[in-house]
Amino acid sequence: MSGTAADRRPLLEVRDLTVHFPVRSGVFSRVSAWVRAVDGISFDLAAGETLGLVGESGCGKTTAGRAVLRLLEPTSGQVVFDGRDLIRMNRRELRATRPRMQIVFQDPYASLNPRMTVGDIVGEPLRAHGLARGSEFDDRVAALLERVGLQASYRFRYPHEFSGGQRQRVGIARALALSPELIVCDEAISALDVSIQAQILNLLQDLQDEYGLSYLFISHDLSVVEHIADRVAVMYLGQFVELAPVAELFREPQHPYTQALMSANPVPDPGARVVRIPLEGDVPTPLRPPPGCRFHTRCPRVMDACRTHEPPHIRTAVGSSVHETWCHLYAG
Amino acid sequence: MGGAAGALLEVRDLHVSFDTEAGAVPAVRGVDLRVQRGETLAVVGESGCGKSVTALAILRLLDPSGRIERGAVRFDGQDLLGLSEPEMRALRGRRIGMVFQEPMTSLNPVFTVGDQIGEVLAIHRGLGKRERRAEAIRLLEKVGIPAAAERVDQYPHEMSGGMKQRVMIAIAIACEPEVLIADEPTTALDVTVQAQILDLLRALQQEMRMAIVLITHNLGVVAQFAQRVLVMYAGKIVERSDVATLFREPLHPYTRALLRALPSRSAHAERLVSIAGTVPSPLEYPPGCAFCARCPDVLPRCADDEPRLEGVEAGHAVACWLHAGTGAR
Repeated sequence: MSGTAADRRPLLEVRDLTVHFPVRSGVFSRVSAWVRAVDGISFDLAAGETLGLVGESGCGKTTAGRAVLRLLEPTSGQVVFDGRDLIRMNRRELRATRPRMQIVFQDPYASLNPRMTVGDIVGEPLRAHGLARGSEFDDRVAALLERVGLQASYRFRYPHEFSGGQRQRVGIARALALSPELIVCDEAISALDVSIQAQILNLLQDLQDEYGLSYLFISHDLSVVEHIADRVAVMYLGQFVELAPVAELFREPQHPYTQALMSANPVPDPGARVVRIPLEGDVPTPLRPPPGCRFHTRCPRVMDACRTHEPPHIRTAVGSSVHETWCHLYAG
Repeated sequence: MGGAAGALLEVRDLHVSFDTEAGAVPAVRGVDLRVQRGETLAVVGESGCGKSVTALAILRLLDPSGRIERGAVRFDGQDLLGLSEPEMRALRGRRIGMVFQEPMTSLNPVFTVGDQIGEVLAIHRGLGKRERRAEAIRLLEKVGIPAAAERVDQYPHEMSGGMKQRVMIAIAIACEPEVLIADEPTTALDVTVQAQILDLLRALQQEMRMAIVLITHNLGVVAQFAQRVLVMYAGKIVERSDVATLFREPLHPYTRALLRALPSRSAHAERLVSIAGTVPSPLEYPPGCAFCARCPDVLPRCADDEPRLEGVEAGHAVACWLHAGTGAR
């Protein structure tokens, strides 16, 4: 999939994407500081490809996913979708493009309106964009529910009547309603039990094969990302530290943060002897990210340059793809 | 069964149900477990399998709608279910420690962490004010909190999730309990923090010869942390094993399916083997095996005839007709 897709222009090209949130304080709500949630990330996503975005809480991965869809306004940067920059679009143009990009959220309990029937939830995008009415609407909704493995008759029921896995299927059916090309999956399976996770992962893969979907797959779970992604970006404090094809990244992680993250992931194999790379302390606040490399305060291999200088962007060719690392260790 | 010799904590035939509008709902249906000093026993299963209810029942912390229908809980020879509430309170936090999933909600927001650790020290160890503060600082240092002398005066909201969970562990180990009941202690935490907390628990366990009952849904954590494991499904134990054997040679179709469903145990982009359907509602448990409707290897007798947990070899038992009568006992 990704091999052939790489020859064409990527579906999505993100350049120097930055999202800073103002922190207001005092009587006049003056902006006293900025939370640098996403601070200059760049990546491409090909048609039919899955890019995994991993990192720990507060690293900015969810904010990045939303900024890519312009569900929140980026501070600067470009998000070029199929050749056109979403950030520069006016409302009308954006509305015309929205059907092509969708999102599936983490919490299948909070993201479905409890007062709407499942049929209305799944069909709402069709109504909002005036794409189907009457019997055609009913047929489309029924087909969507069946496509995600739910019975068409469920359309008259309410979300509370369903289990977590079934609700996530409803969320996926809603995302599919407008035949999108890109779906941002934001911790889409994290709230589910293992056996249900497997069902939903399989469904996402089937849908990708069938419709050539591109996924930006945001997750804190390395095992899940290793399974489903073609390439993986690792994020720390608003920036990428590493971006590589999945097999390459898991075989030869270069950045000390990636290495630590992988060594901390508990492998379901009692015989596996993992050499733990312990990390000291906590993630610093994105209000005042450390100077130089943002990871230097916790890095087991920190050098003098790391404390003062931004890390270099190292690119190594891997087959037809590239292994990118932002780290002083690999300079020169 | 067998003799209770050596078991520090022993649960026998525990049944717990909850009163609901739909009547009494069974949550735990005959659980047996034994933990020795210094060992870690994991209880693993998916949401609703009864693992947390088992932990709460042992501690006698079920909410008012929950009821222990029958069974026995023995700790160091004492019958916990026969104790008065004051006697139980004297045991909890002193000889039996506990850590729960949500460090955000388990701490009191209006007291400093020093006060909260101090409370345990005052109640169970009768320490004076100055001693309490010094001991709180020592405990915070022990659980790896940097600048403990300053942190001791902070409020929970000033700390990260990992820090708060360390404070919870500091409280739990303040009286050097003989057994620690940890219910999803790292589930709300990031993996690097999870690794720190598990390393910490392991070190404390070795130092204090503490037994740990670890309740978790995470098979990776089980593999890396526990010595023995109980797999629960629909309120019952379906398999009991040492950890190495369970991962090498799972016997119950549910355990096998659960392991096959793990993305890390299959090749990249390969279809995962998922378990069809969902866990049955406690109101609709069949008379036989509760897994029968989802089981790929179901036999005619499974729906009506309940399999018992039977040993197939030393230390490995399974409740399944596929393996009935194959064992030594």
